Amino acid sequence: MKPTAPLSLADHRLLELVWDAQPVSSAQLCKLAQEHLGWKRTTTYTVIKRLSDKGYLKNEAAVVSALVDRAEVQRADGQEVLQRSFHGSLPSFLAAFLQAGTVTDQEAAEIEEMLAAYRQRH
Amino acid sequence: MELFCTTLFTMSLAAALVAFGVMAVRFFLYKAPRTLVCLLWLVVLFRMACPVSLSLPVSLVPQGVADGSAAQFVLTSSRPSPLEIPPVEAPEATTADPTPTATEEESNFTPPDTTNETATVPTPESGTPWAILFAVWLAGTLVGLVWGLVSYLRLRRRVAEAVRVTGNVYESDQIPSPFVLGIFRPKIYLTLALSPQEKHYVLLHERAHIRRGDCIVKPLAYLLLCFHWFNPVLWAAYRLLCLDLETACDQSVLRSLPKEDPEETAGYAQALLHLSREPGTPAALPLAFGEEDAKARISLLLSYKRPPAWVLAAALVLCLLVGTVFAANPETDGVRVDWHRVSQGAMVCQGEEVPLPDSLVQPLAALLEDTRRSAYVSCDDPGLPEGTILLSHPEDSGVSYRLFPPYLVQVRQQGEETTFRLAVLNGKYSDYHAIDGNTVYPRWISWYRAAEALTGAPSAQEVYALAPKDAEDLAGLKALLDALGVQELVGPYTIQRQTEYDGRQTLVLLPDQTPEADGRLQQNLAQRCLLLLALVPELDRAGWVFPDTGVGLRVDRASLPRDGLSACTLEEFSYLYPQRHLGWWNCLSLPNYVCCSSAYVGMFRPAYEVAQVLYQSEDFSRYRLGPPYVSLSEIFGEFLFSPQFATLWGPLDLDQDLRTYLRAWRSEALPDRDPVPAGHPADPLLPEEAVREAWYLYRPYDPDTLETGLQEYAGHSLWSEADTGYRLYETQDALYLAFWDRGDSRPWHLAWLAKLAPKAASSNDDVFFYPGMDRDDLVNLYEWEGDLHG
Repeated sequence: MKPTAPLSLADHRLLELVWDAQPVSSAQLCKLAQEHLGWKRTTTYTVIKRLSDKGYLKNEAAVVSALVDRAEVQRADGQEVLQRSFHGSLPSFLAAFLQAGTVTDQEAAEIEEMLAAYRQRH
Repeated sequence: MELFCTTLFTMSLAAALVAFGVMAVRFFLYKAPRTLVCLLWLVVLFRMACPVSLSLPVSLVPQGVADGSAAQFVLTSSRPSPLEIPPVEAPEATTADPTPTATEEESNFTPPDTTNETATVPTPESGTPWAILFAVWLAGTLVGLVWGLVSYLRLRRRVAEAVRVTGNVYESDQIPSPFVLGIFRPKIYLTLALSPQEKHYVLLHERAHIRRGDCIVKPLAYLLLCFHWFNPVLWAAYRLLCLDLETACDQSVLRSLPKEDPEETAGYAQALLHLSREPGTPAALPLAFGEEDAKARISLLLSYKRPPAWVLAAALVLCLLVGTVFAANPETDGVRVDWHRVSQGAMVCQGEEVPLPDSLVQPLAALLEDTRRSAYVSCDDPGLPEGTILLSHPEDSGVSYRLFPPYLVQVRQQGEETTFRLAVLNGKYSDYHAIDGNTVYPRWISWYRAAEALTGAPSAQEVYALAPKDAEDLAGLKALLDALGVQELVGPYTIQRQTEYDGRQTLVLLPDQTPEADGRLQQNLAQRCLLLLALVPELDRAGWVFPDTGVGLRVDRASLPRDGLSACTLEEFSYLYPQRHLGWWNCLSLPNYVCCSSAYVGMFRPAYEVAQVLYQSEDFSRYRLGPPYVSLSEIFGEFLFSPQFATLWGPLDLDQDLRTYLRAWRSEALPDRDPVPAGHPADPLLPEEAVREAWYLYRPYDPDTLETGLQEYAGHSLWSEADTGYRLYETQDALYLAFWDRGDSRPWHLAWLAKLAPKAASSNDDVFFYPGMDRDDLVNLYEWEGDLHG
């Protein structure tokens, strides 16, 4: 079952580390967290425990692996933002960036490519 | 504990004063770089933290605060309260006797009746509950410290999961606004929703905070504020400090922006505006961006212009000067400033300090250095350490008294510190011999001369020079008498030379009008006459007659020292003069401070009263024993009587030239000619070994004439006529007073024995002397130890 509990920034970041390194020993994860996030070991363990309780992580015999993959979380996050601020409208979401002029040429090109590929599939 | 409280209070008061000063300066430096004001706040912190400081001639902090007397004043709870004491009528001096003995002249000498409408008497020393004050303070401090610590820890926990961006910059989604946290390794915490531009400015600001050391200053200030939590001024100062830190930081950021162009400024202001919040409780530790009064900061920012270099320089100089002045304590000039203005004639109370003019301090110091007489106090410090003359209640041992007529000085040593107290001797000063050979004498003279200089009275030399060569020279004699101040005493007068029936040459003063009845008048006149006699060897007597009453008194040359002292040298006269002349009469014309320090000082001493009568003989009712107030400072100290102390012969009348001495007898070998009377019983109530010291009270008198006289006689003896019968016994824990009776037909026997207990020296009865007091109420102070009279 997909976990639905909200994720904090810390949760996200740890998940990212896990996705990149899983399956990873908790000790190693601590080292990674220290290196990339600047966390103490106790902090890392706290977050691991929280994510395990929420159902995002699996911690068996000090080996940590994710129960959800990146794409799922991203989608869930995106849905949340859409629902909360844009009434579920993706165009409105995009418009926010397009209007502010905060989309670079490269990003625009990427988006066009993605749209083209999407049309092709559907 | 008391020391701690008063020191803390002093520091806090000084810091508050300086804070006020900084607030004032801040107003003037509003447009100048705010860093300067922050430097001044550091001075306030210094004063909060440091009890001592450098001494400068110029200081913001008044001396009364810096030396702790303000703290003392505020914190100590014993306070004198004014009390109406009506002027007391002095009994008329005996006028009938045409040939008064030396006793009357010498000894019936009392301070003048001066304005004594108000005299102050100390309320009972209730004592400040230092322990309670300290406990309250500690509680307040702990509350502040705990709150600070708790908020710090809570915030730390909140940002535990912040993710590092780079170096010491972190991001978190759990915080409402960016801030800096940490003292030694400060970390910047950013929120997520910052635009790159905002992020840039925030980082600039927070990094500026770190660079300027604000991460240390603000927590330190908070810590110190906890210790001074009772001081509202410092709370306000802290608030302003926080604001100024932020402003200075803003200005620092602006200075670092390229070319300080207005766009950047606007950008920064915008970021500030965007992130501003209502100022909440001043969080001690996190230095939040945008937390402090954003409106003020923004307006300051937008109007900030780098002032020209000269303005900067001037402001810097001003700050340095002001800061140094604020930081400093005033130089102590050696004499403590008085806290209570003592008005002429008012009695100085317990705990009050009386200033002495500088010209008196040094001679007094020299005078007091001579402590050869003392067995247990040494004043080895060269010179009086602080020139403090305290009048206060002696509390503990280490006390001795130095008799420098008419002044009595109490020397008290507490550890390293020696203080001196001026007391007053009543009129019955002991005779004028130098107390300790030559050493004291010249110093005493210098003290007197210094005091004399303040009175405006002619010096001894001047008076001596006026002595007429020829005893017939009436004009010369009159001039001399005027110099002695007779006119001030009696008004216009004439003089007459007479030969008495017995051939003695007498000079008589004839005042035109009878002066007002004044018990002191006779004594004062007598003194003048004695001085006259000292200077005019041909005269045998001097006296006066009042026109209305026809009554007069004559003073005999025999009253002078050394068998009448013919041919008085200048040196001798210099010694006589101050005693007789700079006496009570002149105290009226002395400037306030000397007046009050010398003449109108009451000593409030611990007194003892009868706690329990242990024994009374059957025929005890014969004796009138009033309540014996017995004051003892230390067993080695003086012995003071209240005149209510009665003897077999009636009240112990100290006025009748009775000098009562307290003498340790138990440890002394008894003189051979006065062996212990046969059959003298051992004290049945006090086993010998329990008695540590025993004292007896005796009156010296001439064994040949049986007259109590001025002459000291060394051959005092126990169980003689001189013995008053009173004994004091000191044991380990208590003091006993006994009265031994020597009846006509009975051997010595114990008539009365009582145990004494300390009595709070708070009532009028223990006030042994103040102006206008009845002569009967006067008490002698004597130094028991050693032989006073050379």
